[in-house]
Amino acid sequence: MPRTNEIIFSIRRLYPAVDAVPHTQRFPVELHPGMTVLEGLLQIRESQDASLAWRFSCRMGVCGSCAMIVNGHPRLACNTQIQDVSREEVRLAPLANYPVIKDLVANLDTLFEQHAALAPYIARSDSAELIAPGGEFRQTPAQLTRFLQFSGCIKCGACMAACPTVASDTRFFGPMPLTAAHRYNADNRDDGFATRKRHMRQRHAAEHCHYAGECSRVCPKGVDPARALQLLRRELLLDWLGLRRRQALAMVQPASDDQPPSQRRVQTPPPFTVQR
Amino acid sequence: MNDHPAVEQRLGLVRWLTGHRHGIEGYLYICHRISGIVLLLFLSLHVLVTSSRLFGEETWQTLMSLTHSPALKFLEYLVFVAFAFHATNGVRLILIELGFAVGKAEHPVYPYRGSLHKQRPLMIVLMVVAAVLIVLGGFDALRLGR
Amino acid sequence: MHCGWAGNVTDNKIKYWALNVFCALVLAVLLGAHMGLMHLPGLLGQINPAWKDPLAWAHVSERGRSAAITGGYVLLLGLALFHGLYGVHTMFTEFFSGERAARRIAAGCWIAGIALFVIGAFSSVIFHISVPRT
Ligand code: HEM
Ligand code: SF4
Ligand code: FES
Repeated sequence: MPRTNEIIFSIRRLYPAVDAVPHTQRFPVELHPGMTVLEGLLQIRESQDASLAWRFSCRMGVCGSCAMIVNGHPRLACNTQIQDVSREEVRLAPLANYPVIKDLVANLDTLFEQHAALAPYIARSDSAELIAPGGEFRQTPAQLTRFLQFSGCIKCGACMAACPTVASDTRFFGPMPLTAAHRYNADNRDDGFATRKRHMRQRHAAEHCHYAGECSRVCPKGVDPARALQLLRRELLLDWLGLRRRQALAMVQPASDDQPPSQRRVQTPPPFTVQR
Repeated sequence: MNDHPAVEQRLGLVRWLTGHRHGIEGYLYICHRISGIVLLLFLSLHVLVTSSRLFGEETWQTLMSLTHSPALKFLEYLVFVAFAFHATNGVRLILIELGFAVGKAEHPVYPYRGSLHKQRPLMIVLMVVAAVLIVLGGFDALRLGR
Repeated sequence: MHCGWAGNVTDNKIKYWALNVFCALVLAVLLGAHMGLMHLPGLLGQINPAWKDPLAWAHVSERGRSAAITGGYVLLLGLALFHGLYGVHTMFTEFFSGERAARRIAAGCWIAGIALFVIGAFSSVIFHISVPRT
């Protein structure tokens, strides 16, 4: 039998439609080894207070909805074991730097507006190709590595709650949206740098990062937004100096059915994709 | 879009300083700002004081004799400390912000090690340089305070 | 809610930032020499006795007679003012948002910068011209 004991969850509660100021409510939670903060919250909602509000969905660090401040650090509730945080008290608050909708639910509208403004998708200028694709674009493993790390972002917003510039600059784009921008800039299939540029090189964007490094410290997915921002700034500088070069992009013609198999071009998959 | 009643909780100016669990780079960032402001304030004063050399040797000597008081010597030393830190940390920031010291994108393999780890040796070396400069400056200030 | 990202922002602020970093690099060399000579005289005096007492009037006027040093001072002043005020400008635009605040911050920085530059450069140049030659 696993040893069970009790731990206190101190939760900052606020329902702006009713309360003017937040208050802290303490809930005892029965602790099992390996239990996550999210499981503690579920236990409270099932057995103590059904009105407690927070976001979650996947329960496994994939969807990015459960980020909150756990004992002072922005973390994913589902990805944080209670024993790693404290033996006595788990203090929970909504993500900092964003308005509160209710209890642990922060309003992240601005985050997603900023994200959308930076065209976070592969943007291409050859519309003919988009309508009638001539083949597939080839990407070398090295080209994939240039953005793979930054594509792991789950948009949880933990980095935005940790960043001291986001805390003081209400217009700052912040680590998550700018990392998303760099993820696409660094992709050799992308043409969107010029579109994103008008936001990326304005005052409240890349320029306001001072490398405090808090974003990379709290990111639950190892995305390293602080690195992405420096690489982004370098690209912007090279672009201004007229030295930014587009990465090579090779298109592979699709094999046609009436070619004998011996004449079809065989592609070897990069070593870290699934081998069939 | 914002149709929910919501309470603003941006950390803001005061909690910019206190609201975070800073790592070492976070503290360096705050120190860099403070030392930069100290240097700028000193520079303003410095420009006004040194322009007095236009009025000839006597004015200059009077002003310089004022700076011989231990308190002013100490303040002057603090400016040197701010400079030694700001310059060495500034070199690190330049290398980082131009994308040299942060390393290339790597595969996020647990346990995650990113740009913070990449630049840390550089940080340690430069902070040792700063410490050496600060100690040397301290010796010099004491020797001259005779 | 501010929507700084929603507007049609076209200015290239990266070039000012690049200028700022360039200033910092040159400052590291020039100001490094300046601070070394002024704050480590006991140490550097071991190498060259002429560096023992940089604040003595004889040395001050000697430096004033040199056109190169006077030019260096003016350059150093300009770089340091641009770099320092750019930094302060960055901080203030982070702490206070809004178009009006931005205009005021910029105006304050320009006024302070021009005033200090004029005072410093003017006194250096006049000193260079007027200091007695031996
Ligand atoms: C000795 C050479 C110097 C170097 C290498 C240097 C380097 C730097 C760098 C790289 C930054 C940008 C930091 C960031 O992005 O957060 C910076 C910021 C700053 N510097 Fe310097 N600097 C030097 C001298 C000075 C001097 C002489 C002053 C004062 C006049 C000064 C005042 C500032 C200020 C106020 C900031 C803004 C800090 C911030 O925004 O966080 N620096 N410095
Ligand atoms: S970069 Fe990391 S911390 Fe920031 S939103 Fe993405 S996953 Fe979350
Ligand atoms: S619930 Fe999906 S990341 Fe935590």
